[in-house]
This record gives sequence, structure tokens and C-alpha cells, in this order.
Amino acid sequence: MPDETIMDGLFGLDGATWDMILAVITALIKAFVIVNGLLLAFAYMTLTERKVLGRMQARFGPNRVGPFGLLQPIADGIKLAFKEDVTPRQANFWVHMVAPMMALIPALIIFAVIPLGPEMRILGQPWTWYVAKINVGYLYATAIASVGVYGLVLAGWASNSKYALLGGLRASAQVISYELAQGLAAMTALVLAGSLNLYEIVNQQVSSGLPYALYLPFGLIAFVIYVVAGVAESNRAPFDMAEAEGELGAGFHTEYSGFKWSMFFMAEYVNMINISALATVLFLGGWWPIPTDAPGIIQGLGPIVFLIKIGAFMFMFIWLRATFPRLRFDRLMSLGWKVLLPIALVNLLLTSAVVALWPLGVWPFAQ
Amino acid sequence: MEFVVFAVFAAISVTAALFMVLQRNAMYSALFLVLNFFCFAVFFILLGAYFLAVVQVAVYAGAIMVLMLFVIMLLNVAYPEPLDKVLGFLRPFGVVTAVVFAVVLAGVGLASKMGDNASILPTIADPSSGAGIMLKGVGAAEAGHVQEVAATLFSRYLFPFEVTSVLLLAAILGASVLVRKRAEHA
Repeated sequence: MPDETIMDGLFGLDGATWDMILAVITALIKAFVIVNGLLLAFAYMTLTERKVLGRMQARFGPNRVGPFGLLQPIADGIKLAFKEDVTPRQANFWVHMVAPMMALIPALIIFAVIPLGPEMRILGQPWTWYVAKINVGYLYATAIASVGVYGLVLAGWASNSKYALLGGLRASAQVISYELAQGLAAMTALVLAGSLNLYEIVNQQVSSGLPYALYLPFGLIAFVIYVVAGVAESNRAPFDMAEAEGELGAGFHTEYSGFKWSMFFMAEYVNMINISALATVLFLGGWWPIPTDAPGIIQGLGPIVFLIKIGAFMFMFIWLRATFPRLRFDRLMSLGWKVLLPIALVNLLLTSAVVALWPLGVWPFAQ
Repeated sequence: MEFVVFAVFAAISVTAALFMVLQRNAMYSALFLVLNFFCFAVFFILLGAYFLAVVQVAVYAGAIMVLMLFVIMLLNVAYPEPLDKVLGFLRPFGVVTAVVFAVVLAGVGLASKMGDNASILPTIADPSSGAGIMLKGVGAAEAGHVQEVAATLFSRYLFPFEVTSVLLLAAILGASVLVRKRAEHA
């Protein structure tokens, strides 16, 4: 924040107004960096996925464009940007155009509440690693994520094609079903922390020295359910019924091409990053084991630890895709409703009982 | 600043509401309703009720309207027959309802304008009355706090809360009974 003696009275504005203007500018810059960072991560995630999948299938993956194929995403991007953008004649023009935006925008704005590192001071000025710290942070993330399903539903409907419609229906049924198990699993962490504020949740884990995934056994069960539901939520293999190539063409984005098509892919990968980041915050302790009150240099490692954890999750996403066959749709639904949901519910009840019986922050089963 | 945001979103929400009613296409109507819900979330944020804003988005926009779209998609009523043939007899009732609603709205507006009780309606000019309707007995500063909402919900409003959940349970049971009956006959 600015030194009031210097800024006060400048352009006839007082110190408080300057503070507000600077806060807005800082938030805008952070948002710019985050959005572009996420899209860059998306681009190189596609390359990583193709290379890792290649290695897992005993082949090389893309390695022709630039050193180690590092320029491949740029070539892909240019190709997609100049590709013809076809809207089917029978499609609903406006909804067909809006659907990819409704998928991508929610995915991009969730990251605003993710705390990447501890609050710290750089050169004596306070600095935070998040755009917004709101006391309903987790609810914000889930609310926005649940809006993202509009993209899939509308794309399926507007394309006016049976494959797209079936894909859209499958995708939205799946996302709605798994949201429940995911929310209940996340609530286990929220009950343990006694807060919805993502920064507070991480802080509690860091100060107690133990991430919630290690609060055995309930924390671990909730963590596993959260990750499984998260994979389903992002429509990734083995839960990629919505775009099952063998039976549905490409599912809800069958009738999309060019840049709109790539917007759906951006949304999918950014959603994977969001789910990884939320799982890190809720269960893996964010920047744990970096202490929040450490000296500045060590605190600065916090975001790096956080990004490494996200990277591990992303690798797991690719690994799952290379390993598991796709689930049948009825099996997928019964897994969500008859297995994950009841376990998550009982798990939450037992966790709440323990938290109510023991003093806050004490976990009787630890160690 | 606050007023500008309010004015912009009020205009959008009124326009969206009008389009919602005037559209022939059920899908467009549903989408304009979603837009309207988002504007309401913005109003809640302006009043400092973050929790309500997020719940508005998660429950109405994120869950209920998605189910509505589902129904529209499954019935495939993209270009339906004009409804005035089917439901034309309802038109007088619609006019009556609109008039009653307008009178009630005007009455509440007048009452809050000259009334002594500022907490009847929250006003933008006075943020301290924020979300007073929804959470009477909860201070405005706490209206955004989940703890306060939970405490009110589980003490003062416990009975209505439980009754509502029984109502929802009855709806679920009814739906499954209906589905079962059809499956037996088929």
C-alpha cells in the first residue's frame, strides 16, 4: 500500500481513495496473471499428457516441433485459431456460440479464491498469493463449478445432433451426481477446520502440522472420495462417458470446430487444475510443510510447494487415463449414488461426532 | 460506485426478467432466468450477504435451473406450439395476479419509504440494514457469516427448516412411487 504522505493529495485524491485504486489495480494484475498462467498451463498440459501417454504406451509422443516437441502446443494453437469455425445449419446459432464461453469462464474464475501461499511481506509491503479471501471461499468454488455444467448441457442441446444431445445429457447427469459425493467429502475437511475460508483451512493444517488427508481414518477416506468424484466431475477417463468416442462421436462437442472446440478443451484442463488445487487446499495442506510464520525467503517457497502438489495431481489424471478402461454408464451412476455418496455421508457424520466430542484441533487417532 | 453497480445490474435483471416472460422459446426463457439469478447474487453481494449470494448461485443457477434445462432438453420443446391455445383460459388469472403483485410491491415500497422501521426493506443507501428481510434478528455485519446463518437456522427457525426437509422428502417419495407404478404396468 502506498505511503500516505507521498500519495495523499495527489490529483486531489486522499489516501483512502488511493488505497482502493491500488487494491483494484493489484487485483486486476493478479487476475491477468492467473488467467494467462492457467491457459499456459493448459497448453503445456496437453503436451505433457501426450508425451506421458506415449511413454506409458511404449512410444515417444510428439517430439518434432522444436526441442523435445516443446513448440507443439503453439503449433496446435495456431492451427486451431485459423481453422474454419463451422456452425451446423440446424444448430441454434446463439446458444451454440455461448456454450463454450459458459464452460470456460467459470473454470477460469474459480482460481481467484485459491490461496497459493502464506500472507507475507515483500520489501516491507504486505503481499498475498490470492486474488480474494472471502469467508465463503469453498462455497464460492463449488457454486461457480456447478455453473460450468451449463456449457456442456447447452452445447449438447444447441448442436441439434443426437450424439451431442446424448453426450450433453450424460455429462450433466454425471456432474450433478458426483457433485453430491464431492461436496460431502469436502465437508469433512470443512468440519475439521471449522471454516469455509480456504486460507483459514490451509492455515489450520499448517499450524497443526498435519494435513487433513492424514487425519486417519476419516480424512483419508474423504480425500479418496474427493479425488474420485473430482475425476468424474471433470469428465476425465475412466469417467469420460460424455465423450465416449466409440459410441457418441465426440459427445457434446461433436458439432464444434476451431477455436470453440478448443475452448471446451481449455475448460476441461483448467477444471482439472481447479480440482487439484482445491484437493490440495482441503486435504493436502496447501503449502504445508512450509510454516506460515517462517522468514520471508522460506515463505516464498510456499507457492512452489503448492504447484508441485498440483503437478502431482495432474500426473495422476494422465496416469488414470492410461490405466483404466471406461466405466459403463449405469455402473458409473451406481458408483456415484450407491457407493461414494453413502460412504461420504457416514464419514462426515463420524467426523462431526469426533470433532464435537474432542476439543477443536485435537485428533485422537493421529499417530 | 455501489450505486453504479446496482443501477447496471438492476437494468440487466429487469431486462432479463422481461425477456424471460416474453420469449416463445422455453430454452431462451430458462437462460434469461439464469441471468436474472446472477444479477440477484450481485445484489446480495452489494448488501454484504456473501453467503446468500453464493447460495443463490449454487442452488438456483447451479442446481434447479440445470434440472429445468434437463426437462426442456428431454421433452425437446425447442419450438413449441403457441401456449395461448393450450393455456388461454389462464389469461384473466394472470392479469389479476399481476395487479395484486404490483399493489403489494407498491405498498411495501411506500411503507419502507415513510415507515419508521428502516429494517423492513434493505436499501442500498443504508448498508447497515443489509439483507434484513432474510435474516431478521441477525446483525447486518454477520449476515454474510455462515456461523450466524447456521445458528439462526438451527435455533429460531429450526421448526420451519425441518418441516421444509420433510416436504422435500415427501416430494422425493412421491416421485419414486409414480415411477414405480409405471414400471409395473409396462
